[in-house]
Amino acid sequence: MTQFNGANLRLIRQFNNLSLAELGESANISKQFLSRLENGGESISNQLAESLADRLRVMPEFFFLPSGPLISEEQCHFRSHLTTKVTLRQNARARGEILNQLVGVLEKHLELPAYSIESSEPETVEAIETAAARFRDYFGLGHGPLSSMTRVAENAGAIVMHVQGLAPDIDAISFATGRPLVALNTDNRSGCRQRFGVAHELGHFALHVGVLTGDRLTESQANRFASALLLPRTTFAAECRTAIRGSRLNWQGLSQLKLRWGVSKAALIYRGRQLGIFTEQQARSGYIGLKRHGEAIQENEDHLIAAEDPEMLMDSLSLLREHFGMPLPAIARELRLTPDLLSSLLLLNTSNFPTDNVIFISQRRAHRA
Amino acid sequence: MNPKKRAVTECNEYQSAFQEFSAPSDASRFCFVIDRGLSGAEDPHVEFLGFDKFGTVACRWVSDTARALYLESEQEAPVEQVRKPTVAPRKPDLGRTAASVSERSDLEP
Repeated sequence: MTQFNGANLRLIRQFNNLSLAELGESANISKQFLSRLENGGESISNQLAESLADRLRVMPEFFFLPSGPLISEEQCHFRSHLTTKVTLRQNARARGEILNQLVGVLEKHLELPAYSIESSEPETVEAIETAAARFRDYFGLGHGPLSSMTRVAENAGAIVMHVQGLAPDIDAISFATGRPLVALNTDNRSGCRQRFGVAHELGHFALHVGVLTGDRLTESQANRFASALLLPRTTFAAECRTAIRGSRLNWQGLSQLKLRWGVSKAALIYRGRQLGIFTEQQARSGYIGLKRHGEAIQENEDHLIAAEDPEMLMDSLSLLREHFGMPLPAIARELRLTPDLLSSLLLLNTSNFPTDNVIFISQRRAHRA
Repeated sequence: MNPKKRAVTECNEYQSAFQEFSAPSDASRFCFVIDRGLSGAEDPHVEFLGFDKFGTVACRWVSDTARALYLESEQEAPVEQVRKPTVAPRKPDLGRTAASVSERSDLEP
């Protein structure tokens, strides 16, 4: 075993969403001592390492792994970087780190789609529209509605997955690591919001390489990219006219457009206005109408648009199990995590995995002590 | 909009040939003017002007607020069926396998 790495302790504590005081209290040590441990100012006994490992759902060896370059602020794309709580950002980033390590294991054994999102400068609105059009061209996506936005992201080389515990106003977060990760909020999201969320994160990957995002400008740029990707102007502008009757919005036409394109009515109105199809007044009355009908957050047709399930990660785990004889506990072991932690990260039911023949030495030792 | 280019204000030799056959008040010379708007940013639009044989504007078309070129077709664009991402086992790499084995050996009890 090599030297104790305090950064790993901090990482997994933040992953478990525990403060220094909370973990210290549960392990019967002071938060000051714990802080010094994390900063490399104290050595750790085997007994304490095992005790902490048990509480944090890792193997004691996890604390002794050398840590690679950590995900930087510029690589994390939160919707509201400046207003998101620090603890939430830390927890999300810790999840991103562990996922990144998991992706490392997958890539060691599997050929995943190559990451191939072209980087563009979002200097003008036209440049963003062009970037989205080129994205479609590159992946041969035509000009019509996309059957699955999640598959688009996965074919572009991103890992998409659901996560729990994100703030309600966040649809998705992403990490622009070597193989980018997109984490979708599972809490009561509609299919169309999820699709827009994935397209928005692709916008960050395409437009904001090495740029700290989360401010108004970068978020609106990513939204513009998402709108242009989901609703290309060459085809959508013509169809959008069906949502106008006389000088007023045609709500039935808008509903049909929503079901066809898999995009919320609010986003359709926004795009229609962007393209100059809807007047300022029509768009404004559209937003007011949505609010008045109680559709500001959840729209009437939301249940008709199925949520998209990420497939690449689950297919990879199946392939590791079937082709390499590596079930989830074995992957967890390679990462020095417990199967329980990995399952909770991936929102899997642990009962699906045979773990009754796995004995954790650390737990047995702790039990004996 | 106040275009001063000769292409707008003057009739060229090819256009003048057509004007001989037109009625005095009919538009017989046409040109597009792309107006970038005030300061090049406000309300850009396109105008299509028709002049009669005396150089007077006989008809005028101004684009509406639609600023996107789009395909005008009876048929809707088909839904794009996005294929499932392909994941396959990596081809055996002896060097990588050896490294993997040595990495894992420190875990053995």
